Amino acid sequence: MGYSSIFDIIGSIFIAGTLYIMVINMQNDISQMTYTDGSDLIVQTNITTVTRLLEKDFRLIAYCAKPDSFTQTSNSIVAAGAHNISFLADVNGDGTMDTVKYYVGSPSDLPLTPNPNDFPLYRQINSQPAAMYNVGLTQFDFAYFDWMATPKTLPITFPYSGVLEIQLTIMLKSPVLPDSLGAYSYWRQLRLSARNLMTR
Amino acid sequence: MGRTALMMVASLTFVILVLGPNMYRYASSSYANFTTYNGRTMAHNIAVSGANIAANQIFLNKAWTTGYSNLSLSGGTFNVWVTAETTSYGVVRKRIHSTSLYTTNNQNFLDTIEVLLGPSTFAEFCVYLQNMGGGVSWATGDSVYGPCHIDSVMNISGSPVFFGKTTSKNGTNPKLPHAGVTPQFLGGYQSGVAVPMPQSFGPTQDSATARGKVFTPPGSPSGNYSLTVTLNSDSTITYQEAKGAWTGPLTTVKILTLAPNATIWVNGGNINIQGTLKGRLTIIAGGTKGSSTTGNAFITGNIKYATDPLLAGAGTDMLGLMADNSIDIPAPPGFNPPTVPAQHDVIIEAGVFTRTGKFYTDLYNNTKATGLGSVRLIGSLTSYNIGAFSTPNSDGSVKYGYRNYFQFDNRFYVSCPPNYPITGFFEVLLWKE
Repeated sequence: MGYSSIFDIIGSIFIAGTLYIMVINMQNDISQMTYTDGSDLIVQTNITTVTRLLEKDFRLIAYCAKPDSFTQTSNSIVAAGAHNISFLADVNGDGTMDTVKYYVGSPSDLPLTPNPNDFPLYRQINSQPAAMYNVGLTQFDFAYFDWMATPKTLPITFPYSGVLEIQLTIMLKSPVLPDSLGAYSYWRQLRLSARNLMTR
Repeated sequence: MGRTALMMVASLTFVILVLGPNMYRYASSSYANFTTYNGRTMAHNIAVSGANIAANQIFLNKAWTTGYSNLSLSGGTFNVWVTAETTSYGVVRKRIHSTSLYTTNNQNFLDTIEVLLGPSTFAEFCVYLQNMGGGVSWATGDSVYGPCHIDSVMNISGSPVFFGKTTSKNGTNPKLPHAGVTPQFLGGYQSGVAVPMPQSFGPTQDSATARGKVFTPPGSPSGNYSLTVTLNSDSTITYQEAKGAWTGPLTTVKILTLAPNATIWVNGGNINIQGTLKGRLTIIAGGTKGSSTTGNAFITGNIKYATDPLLAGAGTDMLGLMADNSIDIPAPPGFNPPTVPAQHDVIIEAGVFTRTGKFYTDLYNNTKATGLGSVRLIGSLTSYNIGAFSTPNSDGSVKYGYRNYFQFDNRFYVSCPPNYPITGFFEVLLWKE
């Protein structure tokens, strides 16, 4: 009886320990998956939010609710760089052209995010304070093309820049995970729709 | 140990019950995010398609206002209706409204597109040419500061610059891209666009007959009929008719008294014109194609507006100078410099329209016509053929005649001289999405 009891105790300790380890590991895995899936959802939601904002504004390039008061539509892009753009658009539909600016900050503008490479996106209308979007941007690149879809080299001179097509490339990573972890989302619009740009 | 095992099982069950649904929620939220973006995009594309279909209908039938009701497309539906609106200067425009509905994942997505179409006039071209001819090209050093259209093949050599939107009917010669030919179309370029020259000035002449002024040559004496016009900066014009040995009285009258709709038609004669215009006026030299005695206009001095058209907020002064044949900047009578010199630096502020001929100067190859400066046209040029203004030296500088600069009057984007010819097509003035 003595030996069997010891064997029972040892065996139960072994089995219990194994079960403990299994449960703890499972808890860790579930927590990790929850955290990762949550950040993936954040990335996907952010990309649709950003692209919706950009598409809404870029479709208004050269648009004016009173077309008779703005006829130089091909000169609507007033500044263009590799990571920034300024253009004229009647954003609020009141018949006067507004200046819309998109530009990015530097990673040091977001010192508290785990990702050291993400930077903020700024959107400014006229002289109003710029709105900052912290969506985990790690890439925000513009490319510009002329009437023959030939790339234009920077810097581009204005007015009469000849820019008629715009390509925008965006990459988002999770703002709550380090750069090496988590998913990323990539979006490129080969020819951002601006139908008013070539009306006149 | 039994209690411990039970506790472990209970805690494991708790973990699965709490965290497990979160994992499913993330998956379903991701799917919802995707379907929402897809739904919005589909609704937008369907609305855009509806607007394009309606615009095409109006292109085929300018009177089309039928619209569409709940037409199915790509899994959704769209509605289109067309409204008309009249501007303060009487132009009727059409606005297309296109709304879409796309349903996915039990969600409805709606979008609306608005397109405003307006009739286009020939005044909207800085330079319009029906034909360029075989030996003439846009070349390095040429600049067109406004919209340009060639209703045939556009000949190009070197690197001309077009600052406005440029279109041609039959492409370019040579076909681009081509080595050594690098035009800059800073406002864009489209090929395959046809804007034919009108076969007559009928509508404008009818307007002159109805509420304007028609000058008709008297039956006698015989000879060539002409009208000499001086524009005055007090909204009047001074005119004098002539035919053969007969010369009529010099008459000064308010433009709107002579022609209430500011449209004058010389029916069978030439026009000599110069001066400073205050107000709006269209004047046509009507005649037979190819005739030198009818249907031509001669610019005998500067033609300017009382208000500089290049100033912001410039007034409404506008001149339409139209000729069934050609418009010429002639040598002055008895041209013999320095005794009888030609004018140095000619300024013309007008919409110039030569229906079957060209806009040119007959000094272009006159060996006495040296050091004359430039002809500067501020407005619009519509011409059947391209005319000559100079004979060049081997280095491209002017040997005889004038340099020429054509600068677009931006007011012609939205307005034009009275009863100026329209192209017969609608153009997109705005696209709201």
